[in-house]
Amino acid sequence: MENNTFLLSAIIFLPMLGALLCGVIKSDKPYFYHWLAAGFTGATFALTLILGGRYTANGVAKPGFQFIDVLPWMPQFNIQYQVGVDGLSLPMVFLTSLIVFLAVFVSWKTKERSRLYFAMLMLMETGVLGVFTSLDLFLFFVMWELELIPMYLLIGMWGGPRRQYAAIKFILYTMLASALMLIAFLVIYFLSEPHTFDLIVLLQSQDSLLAGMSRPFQITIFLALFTCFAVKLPMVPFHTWLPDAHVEAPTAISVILAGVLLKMGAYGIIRFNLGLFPDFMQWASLGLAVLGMINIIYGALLALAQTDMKRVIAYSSVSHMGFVLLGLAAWNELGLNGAILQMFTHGTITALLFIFVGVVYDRTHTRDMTELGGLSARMPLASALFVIAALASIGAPGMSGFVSEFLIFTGTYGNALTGLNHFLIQGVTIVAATGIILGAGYTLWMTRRVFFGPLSERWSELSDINSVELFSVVILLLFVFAIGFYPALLLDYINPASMQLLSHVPGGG
Amino acid sequence: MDFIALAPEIGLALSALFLIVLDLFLPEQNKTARLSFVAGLGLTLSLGLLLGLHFGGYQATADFDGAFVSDVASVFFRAVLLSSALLTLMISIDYVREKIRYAGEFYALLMLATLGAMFMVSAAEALTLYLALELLSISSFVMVALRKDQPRSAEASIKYLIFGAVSSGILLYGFSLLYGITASLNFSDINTFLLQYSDDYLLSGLKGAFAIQNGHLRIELLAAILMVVGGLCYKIAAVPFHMWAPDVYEGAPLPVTAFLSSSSKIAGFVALMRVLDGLNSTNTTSIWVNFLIVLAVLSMTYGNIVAIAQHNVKRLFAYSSIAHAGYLLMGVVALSTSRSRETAMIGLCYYLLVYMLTTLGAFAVIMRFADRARSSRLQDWAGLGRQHPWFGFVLACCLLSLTGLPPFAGFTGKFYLFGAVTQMGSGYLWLVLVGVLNSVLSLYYYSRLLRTLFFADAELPEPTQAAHPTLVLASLISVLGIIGLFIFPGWVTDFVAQIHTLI
Repeated sequence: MENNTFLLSAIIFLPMLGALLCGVIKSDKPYFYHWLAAGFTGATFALTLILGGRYTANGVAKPGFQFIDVLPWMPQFNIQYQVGVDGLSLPMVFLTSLIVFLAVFVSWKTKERSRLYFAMLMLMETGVLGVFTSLDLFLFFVMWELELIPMYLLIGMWGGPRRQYAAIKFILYTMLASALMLIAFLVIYFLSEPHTFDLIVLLQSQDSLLAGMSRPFQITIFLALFTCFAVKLPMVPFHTWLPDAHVEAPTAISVILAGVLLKMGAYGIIRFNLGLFPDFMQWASLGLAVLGMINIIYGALLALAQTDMKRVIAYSSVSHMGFVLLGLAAWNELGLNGAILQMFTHGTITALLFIFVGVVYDRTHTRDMTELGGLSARMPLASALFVIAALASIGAPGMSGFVSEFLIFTGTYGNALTGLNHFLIQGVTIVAATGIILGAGYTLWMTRRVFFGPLSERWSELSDINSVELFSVVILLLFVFAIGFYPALLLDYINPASMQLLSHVPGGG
Repeated sequence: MDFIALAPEIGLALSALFLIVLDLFLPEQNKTARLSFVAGLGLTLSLGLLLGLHFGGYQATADFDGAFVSDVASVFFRAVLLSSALLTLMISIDYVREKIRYAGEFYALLMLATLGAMFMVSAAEALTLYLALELLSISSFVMVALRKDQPRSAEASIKYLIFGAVSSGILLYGFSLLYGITASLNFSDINTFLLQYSDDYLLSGLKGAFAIQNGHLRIELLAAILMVVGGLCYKIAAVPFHMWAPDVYEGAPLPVTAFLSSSSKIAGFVALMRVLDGLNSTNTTSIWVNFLIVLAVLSMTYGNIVAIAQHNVKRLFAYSSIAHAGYLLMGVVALSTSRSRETAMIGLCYYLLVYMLTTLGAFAVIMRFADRARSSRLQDWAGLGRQHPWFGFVLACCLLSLTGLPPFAGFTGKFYLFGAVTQMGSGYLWLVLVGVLNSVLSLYYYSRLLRTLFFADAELPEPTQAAHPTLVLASLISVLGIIGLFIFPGWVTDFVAQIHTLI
């Protein structure tokens, strides 16, 4: 594959161009900025489809980075603009462009200051796409921070009653965490010989990189990176920003937050912790499995106790992202494939659930499940689709959630570790599997409390789901079923990447 | 003597004198506008001479025994200072007409202060440095007092004067001690002396807090170093020499506040860098390095924490500027080792330029908003960012750049500085951590300002008068600068990479 095709760069910067146009063009026409945003994010999505098509040669995906674009940036410091995709980042790029495209339709009712809203939405998309594709630590950090300010404004200006608190909490948590990342990157840079931020070079020379550090120092750097990504994931006990941000954010932003932003944390762990420090990661796998289990169970228990629909789904995200951590502890292809696939499926399914919360909230102006009930009588189509989404979230067979969770559990049960750790992780897996039952509990309970039971007088005037909302829901459901029935659609991309990631570790793969 | 090297300064001095004379003969009508035009012309002429000479291939042959070194660093910083003065002039035209007592004197003093600053960044010799510092300081004292409507202006000026007098006395005492020890005022001679003389001469048998590797520094040399560094730290407002800053920033006319936080600070830093290059030797370096590390940590932390509690935008910027002195001092610390020196030098030059652009961009907006709200209290500014999208955007960019967030040049600058300290060795990683955590801390109060501007609707009526075109132009230059330098840092770093020594 030749370098500098600039297809990937076009994908990354197309939304930013749209944001700039929002800033330059002033129009009083209603829905002008809506269509502008839909056009640009739609074009981005179309380009990712082309990218996915061209990624495979003769139907077979190759390992390693492709579509690499390199431009010099700061030659004195060996900093360059370098982007590329592999089997790990491609599904994420695809997910991002899909979710943001649909988020434009989810926010179709945003009329107040729509110009700034859509500009920020698209600017954020550039940041997130940049995170998933950067192959230079400096660029990665820049993109990581680029996403913050748009998100801060989106939550803080268009959010609910406690939006200022939620917005500042979100940004301070992430900034504090990324401070650790910056230091870790600086250390990696100055310890590598010759000094470089080039991720491809670093991934190839990880052994010599590690040799330059003393063991406590390695652990410090590893932990600094891990903590940073764990906040974004979010891992218990760093998860408290997430429910606040979700509850206060407008629907479309919740969709993006759960659908895409959380994946940045998981992506960072796989790309950097696992990529640069594989032997540490393996050494820590029991810890990872336990942390994953805590996330799964604790998140699910918290979700059971909520009455706010958004909070239920927010805590369910905590629970579902725990599966990713668990999958990383397996050290075989099944587990890692499952973890990466789980990032994608959770993105689509949670986005679906949040869209339904928006559908209900727009009509009833409440998310409190004690006030709702029996809505299926007035919204038959919406409730039918919600039941499908809920089943997908539980992990019913035939839908994508089932595939990824199945892969993770089989992977971790048959983990590639030796000795006592092997059996301990098996035990952890069994305990974590109860999370599925809890998941079924809170999801079905929420379905019943919102859509079934007696209909209150207050809700007798409700209308069913409209065509704009239906559009997003149907597209997402298509992906859920497609991957549920034919997981190879994505696994063909993911598998070579996870084989390569595991090949660095003795005993892995 | 090669006086062509001084052509920009001579041009600027003559324009300033011409301006004072012109002030006497101009009719009252439209006087301020004409005066500002002449002042702008003088500054542009000087900048043109400077850049024309340098890029025309002129190489200074004389360095006036170190009194005026026209090296790459000097050219770079003189250009920065002249641009800073020009931008200050551009953002202040409306303000000067309405609130400054003597417009002619104000412009003349602005030029003279810039002249002092230009000499200060070119001086590699103690006496010239001191005289230049006094020219800058005395002009500033007067400028601070020039406000019509605020009695606090005079109070601030007196405060500034007293602090300034004490600290320049300390600086002078330090220089005289240094002269007594080394028999020289020239920084490179002082350096040669410190490097050549044997340990017996420089060290004494005394046991004390400032123990260094080979023994203990003689007490007079120790005192000289601390006094010189302390005296200069007053100019850059580093804790604990910062006491004057909040009151002076608040009381001074806005353009003067802008000038103090950009030009005056830049001149102070370059002077400090030059002096410390002279004091860089095996026996002396660790003294000022440790001293400056303490100052850096104190300045960052104190500045950022106290800034959180501020409700006045000018005071908030005073504390933010104290914090930035701390970040910059980290870079100065990193100048001390050969490993990190190159990165630190690039980082300091880049950061100072970016800091100038950012501060003046922010002050352009503050000028406009303070005029709209008739107040510089934060609570009176609610919703102004929504009412003025362009200025809101500019201020947001500047604040985020000051925080150190991409895609703005402030991020790259901080990255260079932190990178330089990391390069010093893993023993200094804690300092980087302090710096990075402080950046997060600063986000809190910068974002509170953003919140005030954007998260509420404006209560003020729509503006009747548009902002002065030069003010808008200055804000545009600032934004283009901080975004442009982020994307193309090579414009600056390639140029300043030629700087190897400052003495």
